[in-house]
Formats: sequence, C-alpha cells, structure tokens
Amino acid sequence: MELSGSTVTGLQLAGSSSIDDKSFNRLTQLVLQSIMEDTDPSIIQDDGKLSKINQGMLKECYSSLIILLIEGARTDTDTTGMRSTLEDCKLTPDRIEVLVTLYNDNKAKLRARLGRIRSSFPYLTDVNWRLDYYIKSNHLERVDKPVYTISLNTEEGDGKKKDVIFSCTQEQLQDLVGKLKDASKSLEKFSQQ
Amino acid sequence: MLLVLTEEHKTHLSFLSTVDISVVREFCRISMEFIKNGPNTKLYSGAAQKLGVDTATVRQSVQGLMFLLVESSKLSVNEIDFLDSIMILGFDEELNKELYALYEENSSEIRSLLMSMSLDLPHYTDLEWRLEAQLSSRSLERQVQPSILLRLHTEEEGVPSVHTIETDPVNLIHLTNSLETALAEIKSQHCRRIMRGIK
Repeated sequence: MELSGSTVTGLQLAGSSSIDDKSFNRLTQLVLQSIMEDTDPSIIQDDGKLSKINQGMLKECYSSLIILLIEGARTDTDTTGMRSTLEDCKLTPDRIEVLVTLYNDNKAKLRARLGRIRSSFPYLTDVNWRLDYYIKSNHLERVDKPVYTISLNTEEGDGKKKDVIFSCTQEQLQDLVGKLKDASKSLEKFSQQ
Repeated sequence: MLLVLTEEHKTHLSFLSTVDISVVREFCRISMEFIKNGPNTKLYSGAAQKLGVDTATVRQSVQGLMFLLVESSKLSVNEIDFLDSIMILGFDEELNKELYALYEENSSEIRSLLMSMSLDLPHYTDLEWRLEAQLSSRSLERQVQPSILLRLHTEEEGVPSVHTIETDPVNLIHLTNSLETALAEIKSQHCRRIMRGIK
C-alpha cells in the first residue's frame, strides 16, 4: 500500500504521544463511523473526549486515518501489508495492533461500502406487471386478446428513479421470459464452475 | 350482430346492382387500395368513362363498398349476419354471395390494418442480455461482482427505442420469476372464466 507524504505525517502524528491512548481509541472509532455512515467530519470537533487535543492536529490525524482504512480496503491490502505500512510510520506496537484489528474486523464491510460506489447503467430494482383483457376499441370490435403491461423499476447512478413501461402480448411475454430464463440458467451454470 | 346501413349508404351501394359482377370485383380491388394507400382519383374517372357514368357515382359506390367492408370487418360479423345485413339492399343472390366472398377474403387484412390504427403503446420487441463479472473499479480493486446487462428493445408507433439496464443475479432471478408468474396467471381459473365470459 502506498501512502502520500502528508498522510504518513498524519499517521505519525496520530501515533505520537501528543494523543493519549484513550483519545486514540476514540478517534479510530469515529473514523470508522465516518466511513461507514457517511457522517459529517464535524463529529470530531464536537466530541467531548477529544476536546483537549489541538484541533488542527486532530483534523490531520482524522483525515490520515480515513485514507489509511479506505486505501487499505480499496487495494485489498492484507494484515501483513497493513502492519508494515504502520511500522514504517513509526507507530507503537499497541497502536498498530488497535488499527490492524479494527481494519481486519471491518475490512469486508469497508469493501462492501466501496463496492456500492459505482457508475452503472440504470439499475433494475423491481418489476411490476398487470394483466388486461383487450376487448374492443373505437377501430375494432371483438379483439379479445390478453395484454400485459410491465413496468421495470430502475434507479440511476444519482439515485433518481425511472420506470421503463411497456406492453406485450402473451407471445411476446413468452419470448421475454424465455430469454430471461436463458440468462438465469447460464448464470447458474457459470456459478457452479 | 347486424350492420346498420344508412339511407345514404344504401343509395351509394345501389349502383353495384346495375353493373356486372366483374366490375364489382374491380371496385372491391379499388376499395382495398383505398384502405391501404388512400384514394386514387384517377382510377375513378377512368372507370367512370368506361362505364359511361359520372365520376361521382363511381366514387360513391367505391367508398360505399369500402365502408361496408370496414364496418363488417370491424364488427367481425359472421356469414349469416353479413348476408342478413345486406339483404335490405335488394341485390340478387349472386351479388350478395360475391360481396360476402369479398368480405371473407379481405376481412383479416382489414382487421390487421384497423388493429395497427388503434392506439399503440410502447411494446416489447426484443431482449438481449450479457453476463459479466466486474473485476475492478476506481473505488474498489480486486473484486468479482457478477452483473447482467439487459438491452430491451421496444417500439411505439413504429419508432423503436432501446433501454439498457444493469442488474445482479438476485434481481435477475426475481425478474424472471415475477414474469413467469404473470405468464402463468393467464391460465388461472379466474382469467379463463372472465375471458370465456367476454367471448
């Protein structure tokens, strides 16, 4: 894992004696919470347990720890890699242990969180259908055909919801379902390989 | 179901009884042309000249014939109802039979034309799919995330459009199952009963 010079300085600060063990533990918890719940960075300023620490220094430590965890999870760094990075930053063994444990316990969650940040085509979230019986119209009597109306609920990258609505006859729906079944089957086959 | 012919319509059609059957057939062909491609006034004047009548008579009887074919196709009347409906015109039996034969020959084509005129909703035409595994992204390296790209083709009023949608295995299976349920619903007792009842 490669970290920038300023991040390394921030981590060295976090490992220094200017932050006591209690505050350090508290800070790591807040860092994790910030990443997972997308909380406002101001929580570190408002936290009573951290009020004794110099605000500028606190911010620097906070941002460096966030970068450490995200960069580790992003590049899928293992425990050894994480430990050696922290050792290079001259952290004490017990603080290294705190961070490595925190990282290991939450790595899967962090990666899942990062996995949700993605650009994609409109994403299918649900489907709705309706079955009607087309009896007649002003142009034509005795049509007597079933008609399906299908609505695909999708969500775009920015969270905007959009529905794709279309109608189809029984034969067309059969065709559609046939093709979807093909896709599901090949997916199943693929996952068993 | 009987057709209701107006007095005006009857007068327009009455001309058909004064001409040869072959002329009626020709008029029917012109009517079908009219339905498919719109009126062709040149044909009217040509036919009028040949038959020695004025253009308006030809035009009216062609239009009358066309209206008769469209109305009976719209209602999808059967043989007995068709013959009963045109009995009022007082044509001889041969002409009646000829008219019915023309109706029978062309009704399915007219019905499909009428069907295409009916209001058109965006409807399904095709689906393409592609199975992928996402391996890496800017925010997350070294991942294996199965993903399915669907490309749905629809058409509305002859204008095709394409929707590209991405999904994951769970949603794909949910989609497939939901639509399969929808397809099976048509065979349910409730649907069959209602559909039988309406027919």
